[in-house]
Amino acid sequence: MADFLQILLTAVTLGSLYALISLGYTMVYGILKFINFAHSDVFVLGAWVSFTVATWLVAAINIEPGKAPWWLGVLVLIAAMSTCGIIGFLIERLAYKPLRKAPRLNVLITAIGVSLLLQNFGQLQFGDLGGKTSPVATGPIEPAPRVGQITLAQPLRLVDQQSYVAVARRPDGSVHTFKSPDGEERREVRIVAPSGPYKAGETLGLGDPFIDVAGGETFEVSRVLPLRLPFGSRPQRMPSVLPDRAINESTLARGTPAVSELPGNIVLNTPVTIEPNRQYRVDLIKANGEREPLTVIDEPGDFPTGDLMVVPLVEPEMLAGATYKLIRSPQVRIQLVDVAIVASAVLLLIALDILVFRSKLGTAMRAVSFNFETASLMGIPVDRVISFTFVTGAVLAGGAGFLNALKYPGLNIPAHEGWVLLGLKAFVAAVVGGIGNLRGAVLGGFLIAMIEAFGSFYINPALADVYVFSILIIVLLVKPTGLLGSPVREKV
Amino acid sequence: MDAAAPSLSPSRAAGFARGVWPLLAAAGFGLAMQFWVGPAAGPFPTTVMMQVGIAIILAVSLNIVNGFTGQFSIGHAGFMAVGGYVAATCTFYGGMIQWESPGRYGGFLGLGEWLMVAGSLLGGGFAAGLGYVVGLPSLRLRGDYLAIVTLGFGEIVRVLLQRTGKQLFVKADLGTDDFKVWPPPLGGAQGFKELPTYTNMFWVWLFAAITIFAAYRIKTSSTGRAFLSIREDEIAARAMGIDIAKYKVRAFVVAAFFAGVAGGLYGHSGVNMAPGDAGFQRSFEFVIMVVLGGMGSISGVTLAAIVLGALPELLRNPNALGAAWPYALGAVVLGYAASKLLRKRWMTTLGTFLLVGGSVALGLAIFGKIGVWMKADLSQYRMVLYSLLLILVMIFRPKGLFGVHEVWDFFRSREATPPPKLEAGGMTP
Amino acid sequence: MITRSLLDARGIGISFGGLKAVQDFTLRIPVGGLYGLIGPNGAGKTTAFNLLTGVYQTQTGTASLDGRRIDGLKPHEIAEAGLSRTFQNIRLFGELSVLDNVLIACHVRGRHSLVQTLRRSGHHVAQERASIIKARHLLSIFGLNRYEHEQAKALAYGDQRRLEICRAMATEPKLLLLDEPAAGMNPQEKKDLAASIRSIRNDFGLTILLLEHDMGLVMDTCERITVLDHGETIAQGTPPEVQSNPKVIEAYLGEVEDEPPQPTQPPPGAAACPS
Repeated sequence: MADFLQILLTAVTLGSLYALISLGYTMVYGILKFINFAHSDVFVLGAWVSFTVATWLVAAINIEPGKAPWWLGVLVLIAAMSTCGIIGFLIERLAYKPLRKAPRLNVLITAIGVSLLLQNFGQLQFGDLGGKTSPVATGPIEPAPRVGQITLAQPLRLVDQQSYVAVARRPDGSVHTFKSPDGEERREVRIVAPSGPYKAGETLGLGDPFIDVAGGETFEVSRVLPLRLPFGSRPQRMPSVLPDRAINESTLARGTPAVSELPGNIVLNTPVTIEPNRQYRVDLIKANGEREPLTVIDEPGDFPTGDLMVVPLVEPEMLAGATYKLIRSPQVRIQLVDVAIVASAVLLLIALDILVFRSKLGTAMRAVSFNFETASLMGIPVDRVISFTFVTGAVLAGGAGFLNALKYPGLNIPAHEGWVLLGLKAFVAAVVGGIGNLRGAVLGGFLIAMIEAFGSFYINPALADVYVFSILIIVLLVKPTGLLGSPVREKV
Repeated sequence: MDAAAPSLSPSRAAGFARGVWPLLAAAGFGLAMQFWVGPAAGPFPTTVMMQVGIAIILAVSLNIVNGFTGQFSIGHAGFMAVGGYVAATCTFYGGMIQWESPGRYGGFLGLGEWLMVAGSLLGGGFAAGLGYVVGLPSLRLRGDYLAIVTLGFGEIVRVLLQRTGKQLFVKADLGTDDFKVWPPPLGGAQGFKELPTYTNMFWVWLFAAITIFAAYRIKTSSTGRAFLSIREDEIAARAMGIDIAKYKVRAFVVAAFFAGVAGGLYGHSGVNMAPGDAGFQRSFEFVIMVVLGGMGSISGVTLAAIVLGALPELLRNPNALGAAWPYALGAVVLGYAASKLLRKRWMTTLGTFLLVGGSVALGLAIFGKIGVWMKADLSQYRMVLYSLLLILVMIFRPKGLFGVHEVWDFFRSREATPPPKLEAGGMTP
Repeated sequence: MITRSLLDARGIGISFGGLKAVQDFTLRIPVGGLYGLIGPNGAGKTTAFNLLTGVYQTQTGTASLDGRRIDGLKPHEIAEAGLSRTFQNIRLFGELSVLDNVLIACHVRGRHSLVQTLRRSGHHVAQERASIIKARHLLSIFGLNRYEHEQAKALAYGDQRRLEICRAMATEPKLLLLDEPAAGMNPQEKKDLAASIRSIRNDFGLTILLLEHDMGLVMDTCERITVLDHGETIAQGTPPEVQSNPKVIEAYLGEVEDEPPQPTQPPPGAAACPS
């Protein structure tokens, strides 16, 4: 049962993403009667813009991963949505508008062309375009033979997942150029040191131990502000802008642990029961405010007050001034990121529904989708409405790209494979629901997500894509107009 | 079979000759490529020419579905991969069982090569069977829906190939109890590796020529006209007695067969077959060739396959590309002059062709010069260039470079047909 | 009727959603007849045509051609059975040559397997030659053989209409359905068209069903006329009979004959009826 609910939850999250993307497909199809193949690439673009902006912002304001303030996510979301909106507008104006009266096949091919353009442009390697911050620390270089280290003149905190470089400034103020043994010339050297706080006088390792310096240089350490345009194909990781936490876990005990404890144990100040087949952990909030999650590996059973509980990684020195929380993980983990995705998706869907069915612009959109020639005779600015539709779809895809990057931060596959495929599955959702029908797209999105999630769990996870495309083929053969689509009769 | 043919029918010997001469011509062409062009060009250009030949088979066969019949398939690479994997299974495991090692066996036209050809034809048959299955949805679906189904087909093939088992490299493994037929040991996501390299210029160009012959014979027959009528207007075609269901499926079957054969050749040309070869990315490459060359034009698509097939290699060598600029410029000038100054239709047409070809070459040469100057890796811009071309051609020349016409159609000086004149009283269109 | 009927449609009908587009449509055409089917716009004439040619599946009734049931058959099977048609809004194979347009229609009378096509068997070559001879002959009858290699879409409008008839005849039909062949033509062209329709009937011994909403052409050429309105047959008979039928006048000719308009709303077709 817990498995079932957990998968249902996954399906709902995934379904929200599919629904958001498939709306873009269905809106464009509704109006222009062609599949905007480039839509899935706009979605990928949304994810990559989120990644780029988030990485840059996190580096710029120098925060620990996982501790981003809430508004960071909103900023990234806005950046992703607006970039995608602009790109959507440009695509429509430059590629599709000249073909308004061309056969549908031509428009379809153009759409494929735009899709290929976005994908392949996105995979070009431009290298790092990012800059550096002004020096965050300085220090003298260690005299030979330990040239691979510098000594900090002031305290410095190296943040995890961020990179730091150092330049060597000569006494006269000019910057030293390093020559590596293989003749390569560089002006800066990477810092290789574990993240964490460093006091003045501590040493930092340098990436190249054989740098040639004359002596007397001072190092200036700067943080790298990454900016890779646009997609790249190197493994990347979206910095987390939301805490990785389940919202429905229960705190069983909390308190201040005694300082003189044996390593690997915690003394309880409330009686607790450890149930079999459940996960428990202790969150240690240290004196400096850092949270350290530690796994509990004790036997199931009743633990009275004052009993010891086995938490292998606890060291006595960690306990000074710390508090602890004993937390039981829920059977069905509802993660904050899932809630964020579903909530944002629902908000966006409601907004879209109001826009299309309750606003004047929405009425114009629906009129254009019936027949854009007649609509233009009625004084509806068809071009503007079509542009608006594209932009709306692209904005939703951008939002979905951001949400997807939140949920699956590992961007270690080339953009065109897994991600474009995800967009294509969203298209399948639109077709299954009945393309051209907004509610059908949402329905199809959830349906496809269910099939994918349950099929993966109960049959074979490797064949998830096969289920999705098989469902597509079956639906198209049985009811070509999709579940909620209305039949179209060709005029003779 | 022809005994009952009407008296108009020429003799059976002539009929037999008509059936056989293209095969002989194709074989002669293949031999010329193998023993004359290949050695003259050197080993690396030979490899490129083989890939170009395979691209021609794929593009020309896809043209039967996308160009003649007007159905839009973007799953052609799926058929290619199926044929390739079937053929590779034949040579790799067949060779292992028969000759103890999966490596190359026999010389030119030796037993190993014949096994490869048999495997490729078998692969073509498999692909044709799948083509029948994929063609069925086309009876109910049109345009973009069908595109998605064929795309889904390619993706399904890709995923299934990824799920195949570990490749076995030692014959002893085949005999032990550990060996399971399911999942078939086709290398999984790693790809089907170390296939014997049986493909050579002869086989590639033999099959390329056969494909072109077959496509041409289909196009200029009642079957081909039935395909074309479906592309033009399905409702009118049905009203004229064309069983569009049958012909759509037939187009898919024929195209899939040739794609399967091409897959067999591709698999044995010294590359690693990988599941990614079935993906829609590969399919798009062939779609681009068909669209740029002209949907329905065999010669146009062949030309596009040659240019686009060779382009990646050219882009890898920007120095040579850039050095070609004087020739390209010369072609442009000469072509422009010929198209403007000469009278004869074939001369002006030739001039126009020179002009267009020269302009493309000049563009590429400039691109190469920029590449040399910027020290950039141009080959990564290949697909960007293609996709831009695709969009521009769709906007400015929606039917592709040659449209439905063949290259020689442009040279044929039409007899002085009077322009359609207005009937008495004029027409109200 | 004493003469054997070629087409025998009994009570065929179809409704789209709740709308009964054609109901209880009955039509018998004798061999060699030149029949007219008229009715105001929206009367269901084209739908009736589409039912007969299999574009839509009949929901009620039966139809047979020369004693063979054709309702429920696919359009290409109906064409093979000997019923061919033209289209109201011209549906030529526009990109293809004029000759190819006609050759495609020859296809139904001479097909080959793929193997025959690929090896150019004697049978195939002979068939192709025969088809080309037949197509050229038909084109010359309609005066289109000059344009043999032109693209069909490049022809003048009237030539396109003729090419459609030519193409339909290449399927060697027993019954030819002409869907508004005079649409968009001026009086002179209509006259020429009427002449050629009569000559086709006489020279080829074809049976023709002419669908028109231009009264003049129908009254001039047809021997018997069926009048449809709101999907129902309201009258049948010779041109004079039909012309004098009060129901027809009410439905169709009311305004033309300057009859006082009905106090209730006139049928929707009446307003759009050509004068």
